[in-house]
Amino acid sequence: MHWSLAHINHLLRWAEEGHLRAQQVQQVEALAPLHPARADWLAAGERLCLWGGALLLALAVVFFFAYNWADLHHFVKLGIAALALLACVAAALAARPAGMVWQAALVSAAVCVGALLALIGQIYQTGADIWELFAAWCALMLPFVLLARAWPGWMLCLLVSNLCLMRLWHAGGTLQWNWQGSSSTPLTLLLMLNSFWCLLAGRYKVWMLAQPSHYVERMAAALALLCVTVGAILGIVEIEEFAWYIPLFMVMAGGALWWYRNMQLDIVVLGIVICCAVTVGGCLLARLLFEGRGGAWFFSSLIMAAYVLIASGSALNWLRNLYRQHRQAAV
Amino acid sequence: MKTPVSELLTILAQHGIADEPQCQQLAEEASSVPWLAALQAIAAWFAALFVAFFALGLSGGNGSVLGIIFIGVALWLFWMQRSSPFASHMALGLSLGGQLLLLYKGRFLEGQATLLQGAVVAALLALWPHTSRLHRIVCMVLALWLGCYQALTKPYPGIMLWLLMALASLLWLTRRQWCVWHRAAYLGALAHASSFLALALLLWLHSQSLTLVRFFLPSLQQDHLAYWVYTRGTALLWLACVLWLTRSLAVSQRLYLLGAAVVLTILGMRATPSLLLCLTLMLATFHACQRAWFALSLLSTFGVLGLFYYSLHQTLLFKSLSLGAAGLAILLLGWQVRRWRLQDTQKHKP
Repeated sequence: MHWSLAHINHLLRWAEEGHLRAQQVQQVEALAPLHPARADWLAAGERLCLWGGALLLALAVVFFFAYNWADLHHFVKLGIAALALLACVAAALAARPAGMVWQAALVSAAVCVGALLALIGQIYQTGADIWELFAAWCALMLPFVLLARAWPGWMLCLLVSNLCLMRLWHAGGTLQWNWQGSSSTPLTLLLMLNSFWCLLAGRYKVWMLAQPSHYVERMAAALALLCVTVGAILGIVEIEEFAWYIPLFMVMAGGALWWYRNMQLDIVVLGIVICCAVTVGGCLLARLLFEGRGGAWFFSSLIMAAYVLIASGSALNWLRNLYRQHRQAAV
Repeated sequence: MKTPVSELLTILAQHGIADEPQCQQLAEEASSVPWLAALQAIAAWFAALFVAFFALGLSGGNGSVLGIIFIGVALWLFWMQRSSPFASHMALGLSLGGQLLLLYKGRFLEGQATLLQGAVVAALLALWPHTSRLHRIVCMVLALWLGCYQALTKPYPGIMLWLLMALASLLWLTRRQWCVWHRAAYLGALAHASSFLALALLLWLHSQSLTLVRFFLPSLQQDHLAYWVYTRGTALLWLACVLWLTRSLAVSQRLYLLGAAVVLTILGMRATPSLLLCLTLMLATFHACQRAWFALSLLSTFGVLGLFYYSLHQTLLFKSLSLGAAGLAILLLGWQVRRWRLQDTQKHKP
């Protein structure tokens, strides 16, 4: 018999907190030692050394090119990026489909596509804005991401699509961002994009991923909730354009609470919703308390402290109970 | 699907190590996840900041009295309602708020003595019996941080970083030995607090300054001394950790691993000693099976590598060669580890 790493951590923690007596710890240790087994060390060591060594070598190459970048010919630069892309594709072709090497090679190919596009833009000065680079990258990486069916690929796609929209604000035109309330369109577009990603990752999980994972859905949900929270806070601080975000926040936060509590229990997303709700509630209370209070504002901060403690305490208590129920149901 | 806790409780019950009520109590104790505890600490910290804002409107004496009252109420809540998570959260917020009030009203930024007093108050609260685990950790962080803050105003942040990392590594490496001690809960809190502060200080030092050397001391002569102590200390800590962890291995395997550690020490000491500190903490937390701190040490390693690009004390060519050599050494080690693993698998085949 041998204890897993999670087992040992729990046992040592219980002993630390005095929930297991010294004699009980000795009995536990008599079954198997309370430290990682040789197999655990070797498994972790192999994985860390292989990934770590590969990462350091890749960084060494990047640092070397950074050192010589100005002296390199255009064709050499393009050749290196194209070679890296081809090497990734070749590695994927040589690997077992849907295996870890296959996925890693295809996700790396998706990254290389971006590097190649950036290089072309830099060398030939195409005049394109950065958002166009991100949009092209997002579109061109899709075949690799679809083939890889791995969460890091989708996560990259999600982040690049978000970057694309954010750069669009800076590019000017009709979507230019203005904090003083001329337009809420950019934030709304970001909200729509992330909501779309969240629905996509939730509904078509089986098609998108070879191994089940919640990371993409959680990240998309977090970004969507962040957008609607920022909008609601701007609405609370009296920017007219964003006033409609306050009811929208209530609907979205309420909907997310119901969905992730009753239909698809996910404590991490519920935790994010709760954080957003406490933040928006705090901003609302702060506006009510601090507006026009003059010299008595410091008493209001005491009320704010009480609000933060009570709201977060109740919410965390609820989450902890949910986690406990979920764990008992799993048993 | 069984969770690790339910598996563990089944084994304990089957072997007669723990009875049914104790198993239930243990299951209750395992109902917290690290990110929920982190959220709780952040919320309590925000509440404490609002309390500190409130203190701006009070006179010095009143603020201090209110701070003491807050701490008193927090300790009373811990004493009466320790098993209630809600009361425990309120008590944590009140305790932190009280400490901030005392610190603010003591004008800690002006007087070093008050800073030390703040550290002593936080340490006393961390050692106070019948409080929660999170409260112990947060107070320990405050006590260590205030101590470090004073050290940072003097020119020894690198040495302080080394000391914190050495303390954290030592505590995690010997976790099995002290976990059954009478005061183990306090040592546990100290291990968490020192790990948190060591990683935070490490990343802060690297992000604050483009040159690592410049950070250690104001004058050049002292610079050299502190940097010399830091690099040698880092190498010593790393090698001691590897030496201790490999003590039960066969001589040939031990020599191989020590050789790899020495190669990394030579490369790391010249390029970025902080990477060795991250690796030391990674090994120590893996030995203690502390997954959260292991993951954070790994992330800090990425952070240090990222910031290494911008450090100006070496050329990009030197950095590239160091990284390449370290990468090759680690890949060779990985290949050897893979061979050992395959040999073990062959041995255990029926």
